[in-house]
Amino acid sequence: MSILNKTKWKGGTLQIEMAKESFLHRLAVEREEAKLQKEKPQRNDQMCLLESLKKTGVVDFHMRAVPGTEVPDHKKWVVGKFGRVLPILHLRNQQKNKISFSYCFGLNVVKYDPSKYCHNLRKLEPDVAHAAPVSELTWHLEGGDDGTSRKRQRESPGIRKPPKKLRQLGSEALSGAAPSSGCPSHPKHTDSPQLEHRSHPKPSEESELPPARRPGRKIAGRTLLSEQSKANGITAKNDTSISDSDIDSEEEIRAMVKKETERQKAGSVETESEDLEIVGDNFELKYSSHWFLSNSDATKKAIKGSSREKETMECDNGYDSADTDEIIAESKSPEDSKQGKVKNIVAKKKSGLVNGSSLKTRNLKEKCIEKKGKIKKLKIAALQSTAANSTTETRDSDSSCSDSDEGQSEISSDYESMMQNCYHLDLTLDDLKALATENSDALAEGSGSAQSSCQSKVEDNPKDSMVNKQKLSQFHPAVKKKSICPEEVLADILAGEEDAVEENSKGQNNSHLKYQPFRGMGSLCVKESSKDNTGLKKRSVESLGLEACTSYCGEESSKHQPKNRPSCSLEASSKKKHKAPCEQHEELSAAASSAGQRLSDSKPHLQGKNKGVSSLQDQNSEHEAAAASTGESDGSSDTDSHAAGAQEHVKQQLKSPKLISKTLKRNTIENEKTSVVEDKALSRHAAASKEPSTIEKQLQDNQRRLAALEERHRERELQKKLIQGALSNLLLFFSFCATKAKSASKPSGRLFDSSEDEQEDTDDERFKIKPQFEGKAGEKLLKLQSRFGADERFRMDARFLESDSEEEGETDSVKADEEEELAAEKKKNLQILGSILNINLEQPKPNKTGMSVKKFKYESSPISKEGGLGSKAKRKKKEQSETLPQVSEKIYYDIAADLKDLFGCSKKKPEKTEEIPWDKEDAEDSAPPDHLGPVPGSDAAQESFKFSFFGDTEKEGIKEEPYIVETIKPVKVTWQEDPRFQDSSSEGDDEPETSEMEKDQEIARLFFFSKDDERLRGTTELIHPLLYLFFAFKLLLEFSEEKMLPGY
Amino acid sequence: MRPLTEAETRAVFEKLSKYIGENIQLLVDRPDGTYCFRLHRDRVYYLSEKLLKLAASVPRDSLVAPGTCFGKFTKSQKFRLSVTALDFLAPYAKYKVWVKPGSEQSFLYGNHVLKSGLGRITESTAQYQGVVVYSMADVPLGFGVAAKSTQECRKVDPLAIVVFHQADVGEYVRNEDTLT
Repeated sequence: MSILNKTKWKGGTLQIEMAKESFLHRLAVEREEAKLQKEKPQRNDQMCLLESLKKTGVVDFHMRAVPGTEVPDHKKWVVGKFGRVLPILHLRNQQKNKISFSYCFGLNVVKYDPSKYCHNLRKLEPDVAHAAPVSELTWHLEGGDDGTSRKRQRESPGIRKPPKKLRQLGSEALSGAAPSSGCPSHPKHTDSPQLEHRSHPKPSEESELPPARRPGRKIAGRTLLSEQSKANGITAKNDTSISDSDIDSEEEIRAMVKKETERQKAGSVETESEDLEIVGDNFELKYSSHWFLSNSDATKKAIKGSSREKETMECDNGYDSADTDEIIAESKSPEDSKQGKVKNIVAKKKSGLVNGSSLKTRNLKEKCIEKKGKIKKLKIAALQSTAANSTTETRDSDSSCSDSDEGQSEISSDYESMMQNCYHLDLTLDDLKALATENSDALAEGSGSAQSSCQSKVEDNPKDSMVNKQKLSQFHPAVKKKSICPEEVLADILAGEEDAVEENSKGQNNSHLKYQPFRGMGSLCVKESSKDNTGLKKRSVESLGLEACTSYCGEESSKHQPKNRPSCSLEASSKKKHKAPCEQHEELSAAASSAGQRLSDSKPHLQGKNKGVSSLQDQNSEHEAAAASTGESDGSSDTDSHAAGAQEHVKQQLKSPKLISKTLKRNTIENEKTSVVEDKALSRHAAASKEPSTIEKQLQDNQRRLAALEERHRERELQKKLIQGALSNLLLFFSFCATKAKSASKPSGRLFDSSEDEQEDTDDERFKIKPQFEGKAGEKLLKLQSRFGADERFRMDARFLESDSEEEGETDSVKADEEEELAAEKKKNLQILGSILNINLEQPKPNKTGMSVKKFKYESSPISKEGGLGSKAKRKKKEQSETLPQVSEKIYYDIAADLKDLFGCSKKKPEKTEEIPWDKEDAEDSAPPDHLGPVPGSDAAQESFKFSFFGDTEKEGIKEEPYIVETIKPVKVTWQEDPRFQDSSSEGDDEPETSEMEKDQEIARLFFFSKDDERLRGTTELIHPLLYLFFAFKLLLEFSEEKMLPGY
Repeated sequence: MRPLTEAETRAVFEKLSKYIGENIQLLVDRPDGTYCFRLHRDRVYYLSEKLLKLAASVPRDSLVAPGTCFGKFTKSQKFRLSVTALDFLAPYAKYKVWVKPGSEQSFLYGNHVLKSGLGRITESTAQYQGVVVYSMADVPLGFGVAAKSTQECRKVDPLAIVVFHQADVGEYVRNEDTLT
């Protein structure tokens, strides 16, 4: 190289040097060297050392592993722990302190000998990794598999001890593991592994664990260490310490885990049932201001009025259905969302109390009743705050209860709301009984005070008792009796035992007079078994006669009965005075009187107030006097005296219109029935009694007979009146309801009008609503009339209305159409609804009635056509109804309603309505008997009635009728003067009636009718038309049959 | 103003039946009088016969609202109940939801009912069942559709919707001009 250096080549000098090593090459070499060095770093070092020592001549040089020993031949190098060679560092002292440990170059240089400080090193065994392979490591524990971790935790205390042994073993093994070094200081080092471990974390297995959360890390660390400690005793102490600390933390963890799970559960529970209340379908809303609810309340009111217990039950059911059977059911309205829970708790507690010991509850109740303050004590601590409220609120509810009782549940809704807002105690009857017996003392005071006020009241007993109770409750607010329905108590009493009665009476009114509960029983009996009573009464009625009959009738209110009973007893006594021949009669009357007396005894204070009784007595006595007077007169002059007596009677009756109205209404049927029976019985009696004492008994019999006759006469008068009233009302009735008797409707209306014409003089008529002036057409008519002025000749009748009736009919038809449309729409809607909901919707009732009425109309329509009423509108309607099946519905809605009302009123006697058709038939068929037996007075009515059915056959006659009526007025007058002459006239009338072809006759009949109507008008209009109708028929029949037999 | 056609009636009844079921019968066939449904300007009105007659005399253009508006037909002939029908739904409702006082306001602002605001619910309420929403004081607030069944309502998290809002009485204020 040197030869070629600095030679010239191509005009330049060459400079030849050694080329630099390639970087890559050098790197590869270095790596290789490093690898080699890595393999045996210490060996090399030691070898070097040993070689160097050998070189120096030291043959037996034991390398001292004591830290701090300088490496020979190598300045600034010291032997560190484990025989490592460490450099001594010379650091510049920045604080200029002269602290030098080994060597100082300058004043400001600090020598750092690592061998003196690096004691935290730890040598790792090369086979440590084999001891615990990665696959066996429990990394997955960190995730928190609690079961396994707990197992581990449970295992670990067992494992914890071996590490200590293993530590020594490990140390031995370690000493054995490093024999080559032969370092005597090794055991020393092992003494302080903990320190080393802590102060100087090395890359170890432990450090490989990621810094996780506390529990997880601990678990992992512990398990790791426990396994580590098996192979490596160095960390055994550490392990124990950790595990010791783990014991605490384990508990902590458990607690924490528990807490967390609890929290989770609680959270879930809270979210589940925190305040979400799930209610059934039958949950009742408190909010009741809505129309529907208020309506339902209104409907409920009636029920509640009768039995309030039901209501409370409803309340309970509405709120919590669990406590119905329990003695005490407490409920509170949910003011906040957590109320449900609270309520449940309360209920449970309560139920626990209640079910646990009934005695306790009883005691509780006792104390409740005795003192309010004790309630507070007895109530649970949780309820203490509300207990006071409960007492006050129960009082409130009680007062509301009493109010509702008094006002017949006019505030039941308020009550309900109140009940919902307050605690209320529901006590059953048994409890109350027990309470009553237990607290009779306390109650006695209250009842005693309430008693006086109670006595002063003359009302029927249930009310009375209620009042009594209310007052009790008001007097003793703590007494919780009011929550019980008094009626229930009474019902219980009635149903069962006198003991209960006594008990209750003892509870209710200790200082009561005896008759108070007795009276209650009586009235209750009356209320509960009124039918039985009436049955009894009917028997007594038969025995006592008509007077008693008047006083007794089926559907009397309990108020009337006490009034009437004394009278009947009196009647019975009066009858006794008459010395009726029949002993049975006497016995019966005696029994009746005793019964009456019993009742009257039971109600002595009632008698004073009964003016009606006295009036009845007066009436009866007068009547009997009249009977006596007539009895002395001859049989031939019976009729006259009868008439007089009857008139007297009528006057008497008029004197006491109230009583008459009552008695008339009720005894008519019975009168009729009994009169016939009685006559026969009397005759029989007379025949039988002639034998023993002829004269006296004859006289008596005669008297009786006369009395009976007199009564019959009176009946007749009554009947007449009834017929009159019936006819007058009947016309109205017929005019209103076209379906009832279609054929009769028109002429009757006309007749009515005609009669009205005549009657216009009277004042009442003047202000009556005139049907002909109603509606649009009526308005026109009125205008017309007003144009003529007050001239009587130009009075407008319904006849004038007929011309306008077409329009009316049209409007009617329009109306009907609308109604039909609506009905059809409704039907359709319901159909659709049914198809949607897949249910069978029953046809609404009105539709049904409409249908039935329609049918009826179809039947009747031909008749009406025959009748030929002359009103085109009607015909039109009928035609429509025939063509369209639903046409007539609207009309019949109204009619149905009317009929409903009517029949609802006359429900009491269902026979009559049934008999009506029969009567009609009879009236039609019984023309011959009428001819045979002309009856004074009653014939007119019959004829008139007949006429109402027959007279409409010809229009013309009808049309002309009123004019003729006016002309023939005088005839009517004569007829009126002497009713008995009517026989001939009626005969004359009846014949034409049968012919039915001659107009004149018909007119006469019409005339008769109208006259009758007129004459009878104004007497009785209050009585129901149907009733009268029936009576009229019945009487007519009876008379026609009866009179013919004995009279002729 | 005209009666509903059959299809319309069907639509109305189907909608109503989601809330009151067979209780529609009580609306159609009322004991206290004849009541009917009438269509006027795409809106369905429920009115008495009496009112119907009176309303018949009012010109169509001048007639604002006869009776109670139950809802309206959309352009696609779907029926939509409005809050004005609430008075007739509330007393007959079969499925009810009570809203806690805290979330009353939210509901009345037109929001759905969340689980957290659900105070009480009728059991066996199915999903997508029409429900009437009440306050805890039982005042009807509106109606909606159950987003979850009763069983699901127990489990869902507090922020889940349990009732979809459909109408509430707040609309009386918010939509004052459009409500009839």
